[in-house]
Amino acid sequence: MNILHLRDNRQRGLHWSKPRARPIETLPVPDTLYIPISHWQQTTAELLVTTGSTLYKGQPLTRSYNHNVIITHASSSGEVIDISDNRIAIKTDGRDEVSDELTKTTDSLSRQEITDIAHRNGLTGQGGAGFPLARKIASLPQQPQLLLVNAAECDPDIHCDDALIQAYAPLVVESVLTIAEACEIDRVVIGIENDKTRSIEQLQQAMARQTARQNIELVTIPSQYPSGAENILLQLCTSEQPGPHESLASAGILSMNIATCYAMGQAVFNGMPPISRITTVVTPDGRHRNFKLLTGTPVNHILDYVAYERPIASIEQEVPLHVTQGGRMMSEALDTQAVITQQSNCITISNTKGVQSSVPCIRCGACSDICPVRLMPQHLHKAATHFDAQQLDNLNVDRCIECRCCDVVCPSAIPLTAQFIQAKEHKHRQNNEQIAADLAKQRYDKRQRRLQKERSGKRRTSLKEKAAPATPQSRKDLIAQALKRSAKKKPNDAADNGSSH
Amino acid sequence: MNTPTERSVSDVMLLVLLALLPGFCVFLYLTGWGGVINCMIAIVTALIAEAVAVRLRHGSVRITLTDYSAVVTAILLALCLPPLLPWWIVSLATLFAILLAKQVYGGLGQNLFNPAMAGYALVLISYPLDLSTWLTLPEGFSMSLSDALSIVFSGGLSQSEQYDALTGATALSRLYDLNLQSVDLAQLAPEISGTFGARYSEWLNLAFLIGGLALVFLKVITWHLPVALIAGVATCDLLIGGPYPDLTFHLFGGATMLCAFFIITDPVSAPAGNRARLIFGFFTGLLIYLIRSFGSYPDSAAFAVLLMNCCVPMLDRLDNHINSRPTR
Ligand code: SF4
Ligand code: SF4
Repeated sequence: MNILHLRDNRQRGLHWSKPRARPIETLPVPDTLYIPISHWQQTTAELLVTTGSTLYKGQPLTRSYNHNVIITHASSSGEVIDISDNRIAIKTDGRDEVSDELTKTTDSLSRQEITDIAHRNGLTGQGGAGFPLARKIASLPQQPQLLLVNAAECDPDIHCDDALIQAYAPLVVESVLTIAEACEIDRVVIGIENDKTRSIEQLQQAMARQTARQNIELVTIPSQYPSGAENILLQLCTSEQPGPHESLASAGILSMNIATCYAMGQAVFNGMPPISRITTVVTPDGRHRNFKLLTGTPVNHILDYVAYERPIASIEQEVPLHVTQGGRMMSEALDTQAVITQQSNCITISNTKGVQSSVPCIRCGACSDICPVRLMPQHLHKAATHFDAQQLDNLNVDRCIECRCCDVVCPSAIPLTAQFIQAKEHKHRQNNEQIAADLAKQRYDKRQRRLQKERSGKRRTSLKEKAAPATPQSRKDLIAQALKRSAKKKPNDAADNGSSH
Repeated sequence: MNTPTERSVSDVMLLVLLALLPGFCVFLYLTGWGGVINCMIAIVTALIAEAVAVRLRHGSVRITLTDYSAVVTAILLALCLPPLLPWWIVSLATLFAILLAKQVYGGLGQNLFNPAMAGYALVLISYPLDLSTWLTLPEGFSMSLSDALSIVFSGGLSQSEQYDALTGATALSRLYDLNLQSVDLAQLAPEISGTFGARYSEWLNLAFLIGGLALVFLKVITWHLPVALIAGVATCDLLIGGPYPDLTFHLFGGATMLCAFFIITDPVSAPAGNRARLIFGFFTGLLIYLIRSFGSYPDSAAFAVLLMNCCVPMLDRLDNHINSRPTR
């Protein structure tokens, strides 16, 4: 039996006691790296390398002028051995030689320049969604009000940002300031959980060294899940709330993960694109370790290393291992072909699949007590089961942030969040169909009206035609008639003129 | 997506069983082997009935039985029944509780009425004599197991030759009799009241209170329902109660605490929102008091709970309606 340590708080959510983040370790460079190539809809990235090209660390592999396409770079030196549609395989030479074409910047930057740097280096949000940073900056309004730096990683299994701050606080702070200055944002807030004492200390020290520059507010928030979700963090730090349907960027708030800030700092000050990231690896024995991993490192490589170092019982017994990404709450399964990307914040290796069979809802209300946005999941569950769109709307299904708190507390182990995501999609699909149907109807009505108008118009003309001489008239005749009419009119005109004199 | 649930239904049910333990011990002390036999019959019947019903409904027997909800129902039911009942009354009550009050509605989570109370109410109406025949308390295992078994399997206490020697009245039923005879209650107070509540059942109630507080502390239940129920009883007592019996008699007599912490807190048949829970608990308390004082049964928790169960869908809708107003 597992007795949960839930504490009531003003903010609803899950509370876990987290172990301290462990220092960053490195893995040997893997023999082969598989760098994913990004495409965006029909726009493909233009390849800069061919099979056999020699690469250096940090060298760009693709090029594009579209901000939606994320440019990728070689994460170690070596040779291209294979190019497929969505990834480039690099055979590493183990020398890890850095490309000498990296451009560092030291001057102050304009917004355009920082957008370019973000695009050129293929920077993306490292919190999870992987949204291109260049696009995010470009979509800010003229006068953005707030730079919100997200240093809260509320998932109990993820520690990578904590480790990152402890190792690189000065660079992070400098980068945050640079971004704020370039985007002309006056207010900078870093939100961090209050139990990360060492990180907070490091950040404070780093900020103390930058007093000449803009002020940064360091806000500590309660350590609980899901306070790291953008909207909730914003509310916790500034007690502001974005409108229901607007994105933060269009509301003038630039929200960035602290790891993204670090990547930006690397790109600006060292000219190094994001070719590695700090990832928490949870091993089957439940230990959390932080690794600095090169982009494109196969997950298998990590498995091998971890198993080699400290033999994992299940590997020896050939029990299949399950690898998931995203920590305990947002986990998604990975296959063995998967590689580390910029969004890999946590890799969990476990030897149990942990699938639970669910039983019916017992209406215990635990889910509504925990929901951080105060929805009523048990009612949503009912509405979603029967897909009652009206009821789903009444219960604000769209405000669900998909945090999975309700899943965790549900004693019946109902996959509530998955159901809500599905219901939302279904609803949007239905909405879209409705809109399409409405448009079609409008078009049809318009056409009907036009046809009717044409018909009645035709009738009017045909009436006129009846009145007119039946014989078809040539153009010449028409001109002649007109001349005659004007000739007839002329004497009158003259008379008029005369009378007026 | 493999987050294990922090506390599954079986965990919840096990916690409830653990919390019932102190009350259960006092109950066994008071009723002796008769109580043990009741519990055994109820649990076995409940498990068999649940298994058969789930099989018929093509569910997984293993999953259903290991959620322990049938065991909890059986024990709650047994805690209400007097000892040394004929075995088939216990079985009948349990069968009704599991089959008609729960499985027919669709099993766990779907039932409208609290199964234990529905089963109890059925036999209380059908066999009023047997159901109001209590041993002289406390029994404390003074009767041997074989004697107890022979009584249970030969028609129960009410058919037994030692009827007069063995039976006594519970405080509430004595109070009820006295009420009918319109005796001056204050004079008879020593006969039915104990140290702080109703004679003997005060200890039972105290033990349930302790177990219930543990459940609140472990966040298995919220405080709303028990507090509201106690408030309901207290309000009635203040408004219409005479000098005797006093409030503690009502709170620590009959099935009040069992009802407050273990029966109305059954999540399935109680409302889901805290606001609705307060209303539900308050009115249950009110009804308990009213039926006890003016109804024709000595104790009334079962009827009060069942009556309020009928209102749950309405309370839920009301709560839903209030909550689903846009919040911004
Ligand atoms: S309903 Fe949505 S927002 Fe609420 S707890 Fe569940 S997943 Fe989180
Ligand atoms: S937590 Fe699960 S069982 Fe409890 S009310 Fe919510 S959906 Fe139902």
